[in-house]
Amino acid sequence: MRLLDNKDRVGSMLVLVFSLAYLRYAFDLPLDPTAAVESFTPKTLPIGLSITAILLSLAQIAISVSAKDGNTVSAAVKGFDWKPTLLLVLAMSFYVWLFGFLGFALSSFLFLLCGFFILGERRLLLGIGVASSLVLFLWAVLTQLFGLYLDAGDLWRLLFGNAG
Amino acid sequence: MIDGILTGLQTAFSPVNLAMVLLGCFAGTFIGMLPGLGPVSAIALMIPITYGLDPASGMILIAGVYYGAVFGGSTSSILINAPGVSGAVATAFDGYPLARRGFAGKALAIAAYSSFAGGTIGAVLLLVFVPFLAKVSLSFQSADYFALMLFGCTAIAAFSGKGQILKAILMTLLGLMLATVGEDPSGIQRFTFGNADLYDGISFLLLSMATFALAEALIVVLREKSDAMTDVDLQKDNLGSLKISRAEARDIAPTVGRSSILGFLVGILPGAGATIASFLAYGMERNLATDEQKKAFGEGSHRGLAAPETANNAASTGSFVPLLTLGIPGSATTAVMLGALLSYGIQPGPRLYIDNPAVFWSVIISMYVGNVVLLILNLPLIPYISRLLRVPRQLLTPIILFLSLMGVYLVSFNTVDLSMMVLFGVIAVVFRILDFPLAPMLLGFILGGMMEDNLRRALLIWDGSFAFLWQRPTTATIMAITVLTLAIPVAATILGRRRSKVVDPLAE
Repeated sequence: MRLLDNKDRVGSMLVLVFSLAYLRYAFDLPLDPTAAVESFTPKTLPIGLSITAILLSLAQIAISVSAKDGNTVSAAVKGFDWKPTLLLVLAMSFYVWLFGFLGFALSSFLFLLCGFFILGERRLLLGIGVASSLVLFLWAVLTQLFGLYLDAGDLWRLLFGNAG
Repeated sequence: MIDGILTGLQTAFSPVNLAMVLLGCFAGTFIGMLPGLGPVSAIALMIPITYGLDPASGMILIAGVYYGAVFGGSTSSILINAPGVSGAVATAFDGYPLARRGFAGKALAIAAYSSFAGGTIGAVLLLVFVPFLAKVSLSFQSADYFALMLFGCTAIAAFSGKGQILKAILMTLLGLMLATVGEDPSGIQRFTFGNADLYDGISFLLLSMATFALAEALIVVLREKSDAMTDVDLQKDNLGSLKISRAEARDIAPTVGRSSILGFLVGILPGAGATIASFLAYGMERNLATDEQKKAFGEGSHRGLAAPETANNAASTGSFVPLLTLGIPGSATTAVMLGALLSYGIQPGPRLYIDNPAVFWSVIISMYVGNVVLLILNLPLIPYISRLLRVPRQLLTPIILFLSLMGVYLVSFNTVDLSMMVLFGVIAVVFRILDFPLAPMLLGFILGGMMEDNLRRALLIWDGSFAFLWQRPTTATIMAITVLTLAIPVAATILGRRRSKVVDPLAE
């Protein structure tokens, strides 16, 4: 595991893996018959970029291996507050997932409320007040002032028809 | 040129555009003041709003946000030692000690006046440099543009700091690779995996919001335990007097002059930007100071505060030179601006000066107006604006995340974009933790499409031969500068390592 406890090495490995996958798909890119004889095709740049990235990430890995210890991932993440961050990411994912069903207003309100709670805001009334006023304000500005359409959500349509 | 300036004046001073400068400066100050949110995030958050405006008004609003965010960053740097912008880090060296000694108002005033002077001198230099460079670059061909874009990509890597060059190049390549997603000009779908949402490629707004606004907010939450902010500092209600005496003004005047020119010149260099300019100016002033004055540096020196503040504003102005004349962004902020211009259907570069004089000149003029607005309106309002720093983080962060997500949704109205944004945001956090710079990735992403187009065209003209790289004088010159820009820091790193190897055995 010590091999992976280096920021440069882990970062370069991530780029390397991405570049290898990218190169694999770059070779599979379809070409129209006329492009096959041209010097510059839709494949040219992707292949060139990925090969360069692979070589450079290998070079960075080699440099990080020969460099003195330090620059460790464990030191970089020491003291990090993972729980609220991961919960916020989860809340965002649910927000996006439920957006179509709950609609802009309800999903946004719930996301904000969850976000406040995750970060330690326990005054429920304050949270509800801030979340609802922000959502209502944005809804009013965007739909009434700018005339933009904001999805009312499947739930709304299920309950009230297409009135949203 | 006079006609252009007059058109620009007319556009910049129209009531709507004056309102845009005002709005931009205020919004930018608010956003820039929040630790973790810099000009890039501020601009990215405002872009969806600008889509409803005409290009000139949109760019004026964005320019105002840029200046406001730089100003806001300095404010949080001085008041709570938490720079909202990397360009304001050096401001905290002397600004925060001054505030701690009870001279927060004076520190803010020095920062504002220095910024104003830096911005003013920068704007004058911009007025001289831009038309000249735009005329020169009119003779550029696809081959030269390809070389220039390559230079832009490598320059940001070269200026990325010791031990960061290779990582910055890797991130640029990552950005260039992401730029190839979508339909290419010949109609071939690349890396879309049959997903219709990817046919148009990844939106630059999505990527910039994810890598800056979203990732910054998440990083702040991650680090909350490790660098908990002292609430004692946030309770400051009394900032003290906002006035500076004539003697103090006389004392910082030479610093302001020197730092303006240095800042502007550094700002022109692609990739250098406000951060390097502010550190260089601080270092220069420290070196020029007498032994007695040197002691004050780090303890609340007026010159130590004025130098980085002047330089970062002048550099912000200078960074518009490559954007407006060559269409090449010199920093992450101008990269986002380039993306905004492209989305308005405007191609920055030498033709901008001819095809869209209203946009070109009004942006330059409104930059100056923005500086005036910051000085006349924002400075006196700082005691009130700074109260934003007291909004609890647990309320602010979810609101920032929500507004970032909404910013992207309101452009595409597609929840798939939001999913991608969350994914890119998480990846950006990982790269931030690993100390891989994200600005080069954004630059590579924005330049990728143009770079490929110009390379394709150049190869078509040169019958598939790469000889244009050394046979066309302009291209060859730019390529030589590119190679030098990369080679010098690499050579310096290798030499540094060798020297330390030689010194180490002696030390033992």
